[in-house]
Amino acid sequence: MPDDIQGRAGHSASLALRLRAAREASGLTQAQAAADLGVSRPLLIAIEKGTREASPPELVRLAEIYRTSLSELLRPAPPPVAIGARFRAVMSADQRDTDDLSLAVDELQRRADDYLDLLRISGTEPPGRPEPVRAYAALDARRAEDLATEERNRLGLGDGPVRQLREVLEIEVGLRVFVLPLPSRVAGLFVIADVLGGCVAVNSRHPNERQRWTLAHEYAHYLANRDRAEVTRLSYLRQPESEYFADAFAANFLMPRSGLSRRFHELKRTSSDQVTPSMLVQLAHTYGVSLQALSGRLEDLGLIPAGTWKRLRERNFQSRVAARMLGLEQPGQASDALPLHYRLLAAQLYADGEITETQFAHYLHTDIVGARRAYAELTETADVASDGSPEILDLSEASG
Amino acid sequence: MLNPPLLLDACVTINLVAAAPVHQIARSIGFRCLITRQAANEVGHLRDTTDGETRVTPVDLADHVETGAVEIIDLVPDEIPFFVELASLVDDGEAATIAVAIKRGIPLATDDRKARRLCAERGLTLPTGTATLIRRYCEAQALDHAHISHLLQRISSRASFQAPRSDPDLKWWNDHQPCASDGGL
Repeated sequence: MPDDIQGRAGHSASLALRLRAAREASGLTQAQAAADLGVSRPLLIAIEKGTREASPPELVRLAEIYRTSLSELLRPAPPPVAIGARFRAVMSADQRDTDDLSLAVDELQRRADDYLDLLRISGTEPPGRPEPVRAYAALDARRAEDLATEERNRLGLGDGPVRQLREVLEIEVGLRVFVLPLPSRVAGLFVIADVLGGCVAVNSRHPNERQRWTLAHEYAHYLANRDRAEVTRLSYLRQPESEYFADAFAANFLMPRSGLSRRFHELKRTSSDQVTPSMLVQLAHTYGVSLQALSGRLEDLGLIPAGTWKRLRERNFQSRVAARMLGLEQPGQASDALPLHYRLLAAQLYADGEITETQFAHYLHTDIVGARRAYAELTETADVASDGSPEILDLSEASG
Repeated sequence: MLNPPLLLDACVTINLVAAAPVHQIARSIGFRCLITRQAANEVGHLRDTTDGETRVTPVDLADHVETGAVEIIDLVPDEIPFFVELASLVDDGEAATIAVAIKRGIPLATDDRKARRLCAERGLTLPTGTATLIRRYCEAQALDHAHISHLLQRISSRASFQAPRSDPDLKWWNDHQPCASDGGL
């Protein structure tokens, strides 16, 4: 088949799939959409199957009915509906899940669709060196520690704290990290998508330390059991083996045994061999984890007595207040909703005139002025211009 | 007699709203401002800073329609197929704006690089941009340097807009940028 005919057929199939996905996202039945469009249900079904092409006025009307943009419906590649399908397979097993989780999954799917569209326009691939999945007969704490050590070595992280965790996972490992509002009892989502690879959603409503833990946790799912979509909850009636493994991996990856022990003993020496709450707060701050996570890890390593965290909690010890009194600044929130590579890619395409300003705003999920401000932030350098203002790197100039 | 029409895209619209009352600009430069409904939906918000705090200010185009400064227009059936064709290349607002500009032969104002390229490819007269419109307004009003600087400062702070490098009025724009030594108006 000649390329242009094949291309048209592909576009037509994509359009049909996008029309169906848009209708489902709007919550309309085929009968309702057909009535709004003023056609019969069989005709709408034919349009959604791609056996009957929608006319231009019908397309404009359908975009209005589904409250989406026409340009989004006309994207030449099909939407990544497999993301939602994978989660639905997991969610149906748990009747406690409600609509808000479905909405969060839909949002993750939309962000993934935008990312794929940026990659398509730029003709590039996402960053990262995909690792093969580890096949373990059993997922236990020992294997979690071995895997965390192995990954730290592979990434050249030594045994110190990982301050730039999100950047490492996005750029080196190749996870696509989205920070989205999830239901409060859900810490994160993980799913594998075509082209993009491992996609993670972290709950934007959770504190930074919890977000870092969730990131490391989802990273374990990527390494050890990526075939299944995962919804990470804050608590379980009975924690599945894969969740226990992912938590053990997170503890070992964020707080490696050797480095943590060494720092613990160094701090202890400077505190007349005493372990004080302020020392624990300082250590938790160094590793970018919560006091609860740090205490649990130190208890597991036998460095502090079992039940330390419980005692601190019973005494209503306020770790955030203590951190403020110690002058420990909160680590910057990993609050950017979108992966760094995604944002830079969108900025470069805008600078090159490959997408419009409004498209740039759409990809960044903001308005026109928000997009202009984001562009300035993304292209601002550490240098200072002659008038004392921050120097802006002109991406269009840099790319020639 | 009615002034000739000028079609604005969403980006130029928000710049003009940030600068001064749109009816004043329109009257001064002798145009009726038209905006397609699709572009109007994409205008968004300005950012206003008071006491170091930035707040989001919605742009209500209905106010500008009421003053007669702006007319929001809908596509006619004849323009729909072209709009759909363009919407596979640019956002809905630019697609509708370019479709109307070409089909009705109305001059267009856009600073957008991709939109301008698309216009050139479709044989449309080179669109005008924010800097040219503001310059013409300043000249018509005979504004002095301090007032022009103040106006450009409003566009920069409220709409985060700077004239693009390729703009024919870039030098004028840069020459009137506020200096640290400039006093407030």
